[in-house]
Amino acid sequence: MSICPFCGHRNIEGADVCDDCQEPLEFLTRPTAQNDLERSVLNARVFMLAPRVPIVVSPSTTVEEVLDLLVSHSIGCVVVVDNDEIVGIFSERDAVSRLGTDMMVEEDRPISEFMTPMVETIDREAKLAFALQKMDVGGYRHLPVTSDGRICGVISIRDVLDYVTANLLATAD
Amino acid sequence: MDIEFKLSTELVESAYPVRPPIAEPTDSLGHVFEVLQSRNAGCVLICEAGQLRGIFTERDAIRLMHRGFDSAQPISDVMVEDPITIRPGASIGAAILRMSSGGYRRLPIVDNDGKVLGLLQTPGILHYLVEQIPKTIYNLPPVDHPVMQEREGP
Repeated sequence: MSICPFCGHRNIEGADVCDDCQEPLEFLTRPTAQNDLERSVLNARVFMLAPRVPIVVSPSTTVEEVLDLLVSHSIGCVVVVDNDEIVGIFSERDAVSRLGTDMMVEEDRPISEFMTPMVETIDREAKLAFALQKMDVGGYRHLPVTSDGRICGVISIRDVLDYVTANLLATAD
Repeated sequence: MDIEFKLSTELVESAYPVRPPIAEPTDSLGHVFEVLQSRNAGCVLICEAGQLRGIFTERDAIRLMHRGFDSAQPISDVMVEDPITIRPGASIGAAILRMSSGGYRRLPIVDNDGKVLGLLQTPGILHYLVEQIPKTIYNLPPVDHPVMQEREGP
């Protein structure tokens, strides 16, 4: 039951407009953030995490070159892009689980044979809540950030944690 | 309840620690790689007589794969000795601070006797945070920006 603040008419719960006086009522049922964490994931957008510049390679890049990039940049993943389209991602976990000790044998093969295809991405304008949801439900550590469908960055689970907890912990100490 | 209060009072045990794979310092690198692959784990803890001696993570593994290595070499030659740990009963807030200040993805939970009780990882902490606001996270629409180009129906 939501009571119209304009005329006192008793409307059904969740009504957008008062049945009696036609005044808008949607502000009565708009969800409000219950705590700082909720507020920060709903207000912040993905670009506010300052996504780092992605390391982009083509599908034909060799495994050896990709490993060079991972080590020299001390990063967790490279994004495989073909004609401006994201076709895969290759992470440290992929390297260890799919190459492992066979590294010497495989180093001249193209990365497209070892990458994870069908990458989950996130728009740079999306709410941070989406990033949390994708990472938690999908179990991803990295998400490529896109702008108009093109890659423009990568965010990691640590970027997200650092951002959402920075404010919370600053006040806790 | 206030989220800041929860972070400073709830214990690391509630942030979904996992049971980490464990190896002996004398185990070979080849064996440790096998453990990493078969458990699909990000790190192996190296323990001797129940005491934590070191850690070997996937980042260390990548460096070795890049440089080339001998799989018969013992893990104790290449592990990171005496990693940063956290005590059972520490708050989640303290764990997050320790991880973000050092740039660590994982913290072994070790008691006063040096015994490993579990491994705290960033995905566990993220899951803990998500559980504090399940309505916000689990009720999201399937696409980030649902914009309808045309009205539905005739």
